[in-house]
Amino acid sequence: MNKKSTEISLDGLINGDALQVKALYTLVFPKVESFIINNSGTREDAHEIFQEALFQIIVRAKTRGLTVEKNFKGYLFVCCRNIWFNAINKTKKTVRNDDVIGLKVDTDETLENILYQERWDLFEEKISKLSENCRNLLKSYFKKVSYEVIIQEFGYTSKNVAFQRIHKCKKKLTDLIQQDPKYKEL
Amino acid sequence: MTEEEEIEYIDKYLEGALKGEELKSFEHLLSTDPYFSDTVKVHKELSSHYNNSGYELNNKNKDDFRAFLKSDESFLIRDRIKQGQELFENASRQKSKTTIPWYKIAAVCILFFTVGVLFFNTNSTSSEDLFIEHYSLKELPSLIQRNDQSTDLAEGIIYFNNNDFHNALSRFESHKRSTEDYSPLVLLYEGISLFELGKTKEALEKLDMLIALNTIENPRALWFKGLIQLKNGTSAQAQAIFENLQKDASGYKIDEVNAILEALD
Repeated sequence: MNKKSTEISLDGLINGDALQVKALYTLVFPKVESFIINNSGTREDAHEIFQEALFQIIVRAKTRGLTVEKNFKGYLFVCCRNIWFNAINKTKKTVRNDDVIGLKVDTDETLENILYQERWDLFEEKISKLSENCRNLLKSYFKKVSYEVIIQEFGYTSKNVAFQRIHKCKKKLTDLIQQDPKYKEL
Repeated sequence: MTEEEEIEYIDKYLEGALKGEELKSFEHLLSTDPYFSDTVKVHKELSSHYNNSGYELNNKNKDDFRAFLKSDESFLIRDRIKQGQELFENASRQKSKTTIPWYKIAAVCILFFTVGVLFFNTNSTSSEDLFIEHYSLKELPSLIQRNDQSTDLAEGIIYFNNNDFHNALSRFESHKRSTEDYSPLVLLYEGISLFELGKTKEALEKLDMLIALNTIENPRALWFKGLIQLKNGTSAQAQAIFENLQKDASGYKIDEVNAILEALD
């Protein structure tokens, strides 16, 4: 492999290039490892998550024609993060107050992680179609930032103005999602 | 019902604010109007999306996918990934065993710096990503003694550890009312509880109160204040706070602070 680190792409991975995997490990794994350990996981979890994310990306490229136009390393990190969130959410639903978050990798789990990521991609694609103001506003709204703070940060004159603007953005995003046939298929 | 009224109606339902007849009529609409039911589902999922709390996934009728996941090709892909991991592990072990002359170390440092710059520039790490990477409540110092289980403070910590921040706050408040000389760390726990409840402004005020006391906990208060600003997406404020923390003589989380500042630059 004569590619430079910045040229890492999906093609090399799909062709089963183990050196490409190694290069991704060198560039992205430390960040993933640090994220997992900071979020109640272990180094072993980080390895499993990383492999599962790579596997998921290759499978989606082969079966559904996934393409990642830019920032492949960033996308790989997002996939790792989402697999971990999915594992954490399931732990929360089943056993509360348990520090151990198990990552069970089998066909059903992989399928679920793929569907989770596809849903995440769809939502992000639709969010990216909104104006920057709408994107920031909805982020604050869904993160439950108080109306007082929203009014101050976005320079609105009243709660009613903020309320109207939020609802307009929310309606636009909901329509974009509902109108996409992919949403029903996922 | 106008579109705005409909959205408000859904919001109320999702917040659990609909009661009695209002709730009944909402549930009736939900079961009889498929478009309305879809809209409610999207709203629920948007909230989950922004808070990383998962989706309602439908993994039925995905037999074609299952077939691929069980195919020989699928096992081959996993093998190749494993090989890549082994190559990485071997290279890491090799590197740690070898003694490297100083000029090679210098060259590697330059290379890593360049790759690092490229990585962060092309990766456009968002403040949200930085928050997720560094926010952890595991390192919070303990506030209670092992045999101290019945006081307001102990109960507050138990609620806090169980992510019941509302009750934790009420116990911390009682503790402060009944104790003249409470630990400044209580303010940190209060600030984090408020943040977890989405009361960002109040959380920052609590941390400012702690900082104003000028105790040994100052670096920790700055650390969480910076992280909250990252979560808020207010990167400029976060950067100023982390720069302040970088100058602190304690060297608190200095490697992580440097990494955050480098990513924010």
